[in-house]
Amino acid sequence: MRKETDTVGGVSRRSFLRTGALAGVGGAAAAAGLGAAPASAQGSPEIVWDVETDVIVIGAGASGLPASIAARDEGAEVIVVEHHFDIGGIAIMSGGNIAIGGGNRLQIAAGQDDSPDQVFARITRPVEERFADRELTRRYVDEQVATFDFLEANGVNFDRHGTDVPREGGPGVNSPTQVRPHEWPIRVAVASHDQGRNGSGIVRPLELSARNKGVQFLLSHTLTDIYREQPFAGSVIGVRVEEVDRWFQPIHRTLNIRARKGVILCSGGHGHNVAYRTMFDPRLTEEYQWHGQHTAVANGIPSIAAIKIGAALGSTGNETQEGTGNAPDKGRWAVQDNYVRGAQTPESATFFRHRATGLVAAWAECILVKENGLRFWDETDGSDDGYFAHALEPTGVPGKLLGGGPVWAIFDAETVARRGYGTGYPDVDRAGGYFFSGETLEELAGQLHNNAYQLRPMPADALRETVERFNSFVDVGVDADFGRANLQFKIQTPPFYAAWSTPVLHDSYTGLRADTNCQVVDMARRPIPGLYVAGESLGGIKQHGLGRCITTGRIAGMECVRAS
Amino acid sequence: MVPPSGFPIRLELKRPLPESVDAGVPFALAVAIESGSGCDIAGAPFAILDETGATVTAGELPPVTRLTTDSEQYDPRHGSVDLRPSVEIMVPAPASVGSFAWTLALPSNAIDGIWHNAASLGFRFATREHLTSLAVWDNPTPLAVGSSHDIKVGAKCSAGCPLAGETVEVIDAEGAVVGRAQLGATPWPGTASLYWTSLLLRAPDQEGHYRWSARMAGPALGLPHGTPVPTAFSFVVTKRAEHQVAISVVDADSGAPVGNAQIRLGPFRAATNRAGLATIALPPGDFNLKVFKDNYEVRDQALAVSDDVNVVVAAQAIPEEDPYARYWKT
Ligand SMILES: Cc1cc2nc3c(=O)[nH]c(=O)nc-3n(C[C@H](O)[C@H](O)[C@H](O)COP(=O)(O)OP(=O)(O)OC[C@H]3O[C@@H](n4cnc5c(N)ncnc54)[C@H](O)[C@@H]3O)c2cc1C
Repeated sequence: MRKETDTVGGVSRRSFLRTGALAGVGGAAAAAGLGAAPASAQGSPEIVWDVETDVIVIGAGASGLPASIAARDEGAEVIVVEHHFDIGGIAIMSGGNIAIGGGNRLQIAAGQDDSPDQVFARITRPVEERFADRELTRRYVDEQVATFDFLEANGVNFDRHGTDVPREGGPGVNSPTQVRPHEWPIRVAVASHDQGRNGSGIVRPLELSARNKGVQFLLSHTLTDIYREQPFAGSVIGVRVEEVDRWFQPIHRTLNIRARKGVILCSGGHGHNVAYRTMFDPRLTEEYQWHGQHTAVANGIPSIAAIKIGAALGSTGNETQEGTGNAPDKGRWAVQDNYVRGAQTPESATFFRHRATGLVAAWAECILVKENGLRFWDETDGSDDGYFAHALEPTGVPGKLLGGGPVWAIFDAETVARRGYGTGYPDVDRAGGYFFSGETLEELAGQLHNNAYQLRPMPADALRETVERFNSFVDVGVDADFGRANLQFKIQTPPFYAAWSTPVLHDSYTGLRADTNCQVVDMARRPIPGLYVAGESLGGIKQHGLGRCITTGRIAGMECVRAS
Repeated sequence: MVPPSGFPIRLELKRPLPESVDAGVPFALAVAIESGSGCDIAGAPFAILDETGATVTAGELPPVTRLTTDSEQYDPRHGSVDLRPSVEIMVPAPASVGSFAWTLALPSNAIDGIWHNAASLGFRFATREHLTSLAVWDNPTPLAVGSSHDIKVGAKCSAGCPLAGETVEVIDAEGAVVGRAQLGATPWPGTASLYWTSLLLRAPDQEGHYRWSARMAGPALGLPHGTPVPTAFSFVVTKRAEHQVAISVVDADSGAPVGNAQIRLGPFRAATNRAGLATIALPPGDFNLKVFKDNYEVRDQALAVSDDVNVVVAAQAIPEEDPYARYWKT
């Protein structure tokens, strides 16, 4: 243990530190749900450093692992602080398709013509990426080939899968050339029966490489505060972290870690923090779940801690822009985190939090109703922004003027038989309130209030009339209400089912504002000494996923050490 | 009187009772139970007393549930979890509809050789009428004018009362009874107490789109049953089919058959088999042929049916919009 006792400008640094630390907590901390204030704010005279290192990386996911290795490669001592009991972030459950091009080794081998200029052009299109920070994006594309080499040098193996042809971005994902590594052979950390887990082939080799190089990991600890020398000035000097249990809940043991060179925030998105995300879109109230929320946290607390010491947000327009990736996902059924690609099976080490695998949705074999028992859109229309706009429209729950409440897929025993759905563990989450059955529609409607987000009982007569009306549309093949064309199946054979089908959120495109070195800047666009950011915690680059996170992680790790 | 001299026992409701419970049906009272001695209280005698102090039921406490943060059932996703030891006691609700204020009473007693004080917990609840609701299924559409067919009608009491032998009937849009049957003895497969029957109906002689309904008939189900909720169902009546239309769906690029494509011709529906073929019997007339298949686009086409006919439909495969799709679909 070490105590800071030197003086700065005639004033004991302790009091500076205390003031600085105080600036980082208080009312804002409570508002953001941080709970307890740091020891210093509770009257302790100084920060007691429990641990000391050169660089602290917050988060061990797609951006944190490369950041830690890059900082270590520059000669720094590194501690990675991770909230979850395992490394990987949501990257471990990802498909592992990395949008990273510019003329990498695989592209050259495949005869693909690509260059940083071409990548830049693809991800700064005048309409789709109009809010991109082009300076930061330029640095990002210029580092892609080197980052690809860095991944290979640190054990990520791409050989079997090769690379895709460069393509224009699809509607959900702006993806230039993609490469994909092997899935990590040991599947326990994240397991799923219906999708590749190639993201494990990124994070596991990187973890191994980081550990071999001497990076230290502090798992099951969460950052709550960042210490800066003065409230809004001076260097970032360390962090306060708190130990958490396997449910991510604090167990009230804290540590102060001093960073001699800097702190790099690689803590993922903020989409699971309702207060935070509703700054950008006030409709995104509690009922909307966040992809990967049971694998890794994405509560924006590190960003909030940075804002409290003066950091600014960047490219906030990206966050609410429709159409290119940050819109909600229509989702799977019958599971709380119902992101379509996020299914987990019981072998998964985090299944106790996920609780169910969920069902692959059958949009043409259901109706979707809101909490009031009424349909609101053509169920078979997937990508139209209109679907989400209407799903997010309030339904008249007294006092609830924002957010559309739960959306339920209603179907019958015939759908279950045709699709081979399981209606118990581990397929659906009945105990948690995400799947219900009833022998009549009345009985089904009577169950639904057992869901935490169904704020009032669903009126049984409304559900019955909705189903009867829909069935009459099936008779004639015309949906007089929403123009749905595909009307092949009635909902009539008991038992009847209701499965959670509420839109689920993914991707944060707004994060802290940074310069081209991924160094966080303040409201006056002055770099904050010792504070860096990468991945979904970083604002400015309008591109989905891993390519952005890995590359900016590497940039931040390098630059943090080089600057000091 | 000697003051209580044993260990105290504290009883509290672990979760609020539902707004109302079905009359005459036992409901669970979840009680957080803490004994000052730390003794295992399972097996201690209890009584449920009504407003007059009369004993409604009595028994021995079931095993105490002790949830920990490591338990399988521990689930803090929707807020903090009450980890106090608890028991669940089944309370027989009165068969009448009303509001009640009863008491759970534990007499003073020696548990594990240690004397415990008496304890009690008052609780209020209301009872409600049972709701009977219906379902109609295997309801074919379209039907040929004047044809006869079976549908299934089932009825369910919210409290699971056996409804075998009760009468259900179908009424047409004018309110005339067009079918009647008694519910059978065994619930519909996959349900606990949906009693059901097949019911023979005759389609109207006029073409059209009909909406009929099913309801409970016969003498009212005695109290505590409320008025049963009827249910509507609908179907289309067409001219008699005269022609066989064979539809073959093929991939526009490869010519390969497209199986399990959904086909619609006006009110008529079918699906292709593995060979990409569906055969439908149709009355003469003009139809709009629609085909639905995931990841295919098929243009609607007009089809005039005046004879048996074979139709080939070219379905255009559309590229998946999601660039990851091929990774997680396989
Ligand atoms: C199912 C799924 C499939 C996906 N598939 C793809 C794909 O194929 N291609 C692609 O490009 N992208 C994909 N993505 C997206 C991609 O995984 C993410 O964009 C990427 O992982 C984000 O990286 P990150 O480092 O910002 O966050 P993460 O990888 O989530 O890492 C952040 C880490 O920070 C930790 N953390 C958060 N707060 C704190 C705190 N206060 N203290 C300490 N630690 C903290 C978290 O627990 C987490 O481990 C997918 C995502 C999901 C959920």
